Amino acid sequence: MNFRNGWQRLTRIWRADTVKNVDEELQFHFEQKVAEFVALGMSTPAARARAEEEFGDVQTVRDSLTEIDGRVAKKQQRAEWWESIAQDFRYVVRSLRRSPVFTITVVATLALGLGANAAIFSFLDRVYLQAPEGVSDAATLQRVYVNAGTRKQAQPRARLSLPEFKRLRESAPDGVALTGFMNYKVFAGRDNNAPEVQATFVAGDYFGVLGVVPHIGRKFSPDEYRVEGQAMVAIISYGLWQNQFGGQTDVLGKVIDLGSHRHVIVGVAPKGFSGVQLDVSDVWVPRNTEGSLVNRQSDWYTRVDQLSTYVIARIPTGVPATAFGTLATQALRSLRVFDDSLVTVHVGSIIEARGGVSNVQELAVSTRLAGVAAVILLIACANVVNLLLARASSRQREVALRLALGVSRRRLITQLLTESTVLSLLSVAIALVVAYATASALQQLLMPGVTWGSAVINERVALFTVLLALITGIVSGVIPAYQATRPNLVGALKTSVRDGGRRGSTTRSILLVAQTALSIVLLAGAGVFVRSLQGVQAIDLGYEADRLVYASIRYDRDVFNHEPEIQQRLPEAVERIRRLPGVESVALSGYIPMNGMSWTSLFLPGRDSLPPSGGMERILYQVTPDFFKTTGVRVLRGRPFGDADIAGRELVIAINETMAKNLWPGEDALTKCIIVGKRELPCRRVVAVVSPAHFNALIEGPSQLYYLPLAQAGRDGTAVPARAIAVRTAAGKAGAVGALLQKDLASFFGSWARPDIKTMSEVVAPQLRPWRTGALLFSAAGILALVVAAVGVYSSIAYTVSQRSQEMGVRVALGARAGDIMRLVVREGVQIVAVGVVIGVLLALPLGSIVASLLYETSPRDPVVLIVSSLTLLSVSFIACSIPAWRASRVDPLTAMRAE
Amino acid sequence: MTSSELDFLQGTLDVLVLRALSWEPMHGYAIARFIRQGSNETFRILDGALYTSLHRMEERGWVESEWGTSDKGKRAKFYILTTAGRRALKTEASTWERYVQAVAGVMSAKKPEPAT
Repeated sequence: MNFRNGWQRLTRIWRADTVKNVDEELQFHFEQKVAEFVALGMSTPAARARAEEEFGDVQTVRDSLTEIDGRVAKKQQRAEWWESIAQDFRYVVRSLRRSPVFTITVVATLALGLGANAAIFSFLDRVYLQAPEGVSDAATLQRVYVNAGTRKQAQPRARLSLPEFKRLRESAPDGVALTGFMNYKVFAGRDNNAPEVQATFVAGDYFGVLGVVPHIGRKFSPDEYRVEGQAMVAIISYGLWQNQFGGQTDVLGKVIDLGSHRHVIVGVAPKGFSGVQLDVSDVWVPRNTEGSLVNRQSDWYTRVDQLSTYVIARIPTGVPATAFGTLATQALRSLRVFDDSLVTVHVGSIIEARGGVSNVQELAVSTRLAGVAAVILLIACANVVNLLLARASSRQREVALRLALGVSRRRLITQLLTESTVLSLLSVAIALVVAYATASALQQLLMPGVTWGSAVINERVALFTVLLALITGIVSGVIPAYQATRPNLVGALKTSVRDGGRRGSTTRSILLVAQTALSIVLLAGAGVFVRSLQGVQAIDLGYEADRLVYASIRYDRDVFNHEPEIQQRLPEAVERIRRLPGVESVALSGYIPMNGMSWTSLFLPGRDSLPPSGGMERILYQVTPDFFKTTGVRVLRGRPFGDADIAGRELVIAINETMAKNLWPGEDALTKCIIVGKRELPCRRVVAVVSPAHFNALIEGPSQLYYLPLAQAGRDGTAVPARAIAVRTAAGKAGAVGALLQKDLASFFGSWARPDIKTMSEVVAPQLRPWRTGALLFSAAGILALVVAAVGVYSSIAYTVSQRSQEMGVRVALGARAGDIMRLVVREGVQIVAVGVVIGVLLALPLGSIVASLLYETSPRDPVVLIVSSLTLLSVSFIACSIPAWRASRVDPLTAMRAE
Repeated sequence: MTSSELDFLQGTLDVLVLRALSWEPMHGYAIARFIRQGSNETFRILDGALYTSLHRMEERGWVESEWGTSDKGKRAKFYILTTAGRRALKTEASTWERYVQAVAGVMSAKKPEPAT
């Protein structure tokens, strides 16, 4: 007798009734005992009494035996359960190893789907879900926002002025503590190649409020925090300590140069703490060291228009946030800075992104990407279900046999679910690699300015991925498992594998349709983002951007004022640049478009006021004669400025076409005259009407730009230092000239100068970035969906074809030609896909509104996009069907028919 | 109870039960009889204690049980020694052996010489 099996049967009986078993055992004992005594000549009652006497307290023993047996049964049950899991697992691993192509396809598909989700989770988790690392009890930390808009638009802001912060601190209820900070990139060191670090200027017991205890050294003292003071102390981050100071404890007392300021290091922040912004802080200094210590005004910290300070409040659990808000609102209203009746203070999560005042577009893109990732996973699931179904039907006879042999259906389903779960867990490892690369790329693409803290893939992301994999495994395994074990024993055993394949084909078609439809949605999404990007890229800025390079000279203003020197030597610098290879012309202007603007009052002689501008800005540029030639702003009528347009000669002005039409509708603006600055000043004659150009943003309405010769700027309040050097390069030379300029200007002006060279494309790039990012990410998702869908179509059709090779053989034998067979197979596949495409388009129409706000002058229901997406998917499916179809058409009828 | 009946320690009972099972699988009643006869009726163990010992050792994994048929054709629960049980028996038995020898040594020793 096989003892193992007997044992298992036994535990099953026990599970049913341990008490019964104990009773039966004891009953047997007493029967034997009584019989023994009776055989010795006792009467039955006496024998029974004697047996009981020799046993002891029957009831107590019975209870304790039952209790022990209960424990044993439970333990056995658990062991049995684990044993069956292990058995299923071994079985699954064996069978997967026998079909590597199937395994690899499924694992790869799932890894892509899971990886996409893990990546976006990693990003959103960091941005939306995780409180800053290293602070104590983050739940009671809140960000303080002020709503101080006009009646029409109340815009919350996260930055407060120092007086506002001071007032809030003074009025805070008992137990509530506030701290304020601002972040600032500074050079840590004094020479040209000093690294740039993120400095956080803190006020109001920053470390105390956040509950951060330095790793070594001390926190700032209350006196050092006072904004009126000037405490040249610093606390550096653990990372900076390790990298720049070698992690030595003698760092305390050493100095760190931040710009022109020399700070004494008094502490090192604990490992893991990097401030409360996404952007990692490297060094903390008291707020009172802000700006130039020598030149700043004595009451700099009283300015109410410098909205610079983020405020964090520690609000203990006892104090309601609304109470703080009410008090704070009253306090700020009494400050009477803005339209005070409208000011309100409210608090929000310590997690920056939840405040909704920063990175709005990037965050909007990222949440939509989460939806996209979910859809990709759905497509992958549909694909896997399809593959599992195909596999199940080819194993149908095996399953039927096992059912017939008495393996329970439940057990078989468990086994099949184990298979799909093992598959998705296998894919987790690859998914995490995919996620690592993708999440790092996402961080750089969506928020490139941010120095990200800890690892992209942490235990939270890993856990998320494993859980998602488990769910995916079970969900995608359920349908195939039920289908495969449908009790239709006799039929399945009798029929051949091939006929069995027909059973799941409806389900498979439905899945293929679903998959196609979802892919169309993603493709259409990618399409509209690309269209939108194309729209943005096609915007004519009014400059010849690909040949325009801007240079400016930066230097540390706190150290020394180099402005006079720059102004004095600029003409010479311009001459040098003019002689550089690849340079066609050079001009100076007050500032770089998109990076600054100025304006002043305008008057027309004989008129009380200018015609209303219709909301358009009137913006002033001071330029040298070659400016138009250099930037590509065209002179439409009249003449460009010349070397003769200098002080003392006739005052001239150039205006753009928009302005000309606005000031003198229906007339020629040339030779008209405009007074700039003050009404009593002499008139400037319009010598040129030029083409319009953007002054502030990539996307902006028409504006009125007017230009004065730099040499004539002055008395009317238009004098500015020329800060921008515009350089027109030969075609395709912008990059090379930029590099040349960098070196040449640095050596020309001296080691204090930090030349800032930007091609016009680079000037615009930050504004183009969100559009480019959206297009890139959605395209990647679209391509991924397309690939997965193609694999789905291919594997499904290939499977069907392999199941029907006998039928194909018959057809060939009956005279069908290769082309007929191919057409037959391809038509069937493409028909299914076409249904999916139609449903997909119908889905895409309403879903488009989700991304509408992220698009530039593109309808989310753009017909061209929908048509192109549909055609793309149809042609990819056509190719995916053709390969198995071609193979089917080459079937040798004899082999196929004999194969059974 | 008579004076010849010894007080029984749990461990001693366990080792006797294991010894009984080392011959062949037995049901509780047979084990009780084996111990009684093996000790020439010296030990009178309460049968309840014996069953408790059996079930405890089953929980510990020293014995396993199985329903079978007794000599007289009745359904009875048989106990079987496991490998772990066999090992336990070995250790317990050798401990017991040493104990017995020690006691015997003392009991058979001559009167000690008075210390000088």
